[in-house]
Amino acid sequence: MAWYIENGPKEETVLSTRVRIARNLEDMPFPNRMNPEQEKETEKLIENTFLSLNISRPRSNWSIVRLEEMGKMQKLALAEKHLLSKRMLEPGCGKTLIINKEENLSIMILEEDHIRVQAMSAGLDLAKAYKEATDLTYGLEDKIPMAWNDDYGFLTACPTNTGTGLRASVMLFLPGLIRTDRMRYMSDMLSKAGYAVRGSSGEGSKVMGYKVQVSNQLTLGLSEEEILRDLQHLVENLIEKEEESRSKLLQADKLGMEDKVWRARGILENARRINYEEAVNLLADLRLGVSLGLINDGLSLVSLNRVDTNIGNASLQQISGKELIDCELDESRARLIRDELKGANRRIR
Amino acid sequence: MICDQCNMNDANIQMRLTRNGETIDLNLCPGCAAKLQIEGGMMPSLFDSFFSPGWPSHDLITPALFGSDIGREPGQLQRQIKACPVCGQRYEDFRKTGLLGCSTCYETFRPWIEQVLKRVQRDTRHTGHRPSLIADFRKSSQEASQSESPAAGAGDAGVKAAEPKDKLTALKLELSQAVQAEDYNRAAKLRDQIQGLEEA
Repeated sequence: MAWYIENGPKEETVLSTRVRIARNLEDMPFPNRMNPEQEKETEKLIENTFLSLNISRPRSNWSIVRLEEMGKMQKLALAEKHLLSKRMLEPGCGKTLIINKEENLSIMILEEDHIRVQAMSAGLDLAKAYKEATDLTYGLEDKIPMAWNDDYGFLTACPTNTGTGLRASVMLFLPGLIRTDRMRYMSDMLSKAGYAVRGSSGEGSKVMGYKVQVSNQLTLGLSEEEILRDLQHLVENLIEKEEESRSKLLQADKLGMEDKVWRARGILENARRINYEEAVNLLADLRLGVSLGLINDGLSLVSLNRVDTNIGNASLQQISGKELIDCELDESRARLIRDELKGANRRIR
Repeated sequence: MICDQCNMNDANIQMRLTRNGETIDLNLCPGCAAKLQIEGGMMPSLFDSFFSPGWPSHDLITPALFGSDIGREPGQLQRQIKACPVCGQRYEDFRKTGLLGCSTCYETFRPWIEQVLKRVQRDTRHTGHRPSLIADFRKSSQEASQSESPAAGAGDAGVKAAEPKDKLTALKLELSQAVQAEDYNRAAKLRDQIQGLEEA
């Protein structure tokens, strides 16, 4: 089963955890200064090194995806699952994604840095994601000398990643803090403490469906352990505040909350066309209802995870196997949601 | 009105950005407006993010990357150093894209890198994990490495045993989670593993 539809620790508040480690090859320009020969050479070296590691076996567990050979829609669908970054979508020689079957562990080759190892985990599980990312990264480090400086640690194309090259981020679901208007204060505090707070699609993206991504900005001057421990504490603190806020919302108007979440379910189970933004917002209300136990007929967060993963434009087109225009997208999105919720209802009965 | 950048705070500053004939108006909160420092057009990555919203155009670039350096005339040293001798990256390229061209750029542009790092990082010295293969390390302390850990050195003189500290990181995190989850059996096992590693 793909990692993003699994159950995970603290799943009522934390949707997913991601750990990303950046590395560059020694004696090779960073990707923004490479020529096509260097790009091909680097891609080959990283791929062959990966294939020599025990972790790459059995080989059937892994896909090696050359982005030059891929269609635009396929690439966008991977990006909607956060498996490719925007930089990987830009044309370029040698860009490659190595990814495992569960889609929780991957290497982006020739992103902003030569190597970006990424590990994802359902719910809040920094230790698991970090362990998986380092197992792979250390394997590569043991065979390829990496760009390194005794002062600055691992060198990256952008100095904001240098040192550990470690970026840990947690996708939170914070309807309580957002609806009680406490999130502004929290996000000010987080920025001051050296954390980036953004919407679910990364930098510059809007907060939609109460999804907020929090990640460390500091990568140098702290050990990996300190970075992860600080983020863990911070997220635990946010979870506590979120739970308080949800209780307050319930105390203030339980019937109003029930009304909102059941209306969301009514629309999602019956709509014949629904645009992305409306779907995201209603699914967020439904998720809140399930998390609070207001909807307790067996509809699971896993069902909602599955829907969330597939309702983006590119994913819908990939599922239907053809390009769709706007109203067709809305129609196929509505159908996908209805089918999932209907399926969930059947499973419950 | 809500800020177009953080989507959190009230926006009370308006800014107009123009690029390639495309103009957009932004409503920003004072914090984001100050952070962006887009007047000089020196942060194209962030600038770009407004023209293609919804995507990280640059992975986590820090708005304050160049801080007060923006718009300042190049200093004497900067004029002397035109480009990195290895990759040809110029300081201007770095300022425009926020990206360095190769490892040597860190030495070529060291004075500015130090300034940038002081502004955006906790410290300017690395304290975390070290790679098992370090070229300079290979050259300078090959013998020391072999005498310290003969097994690791056998067959591959460049390989130094990974620091136990690296292995401890994941275990300690797992321990903290086990304690949080009140799973004391698992916590006890993890504690023993950690102690074992620390003693080793």
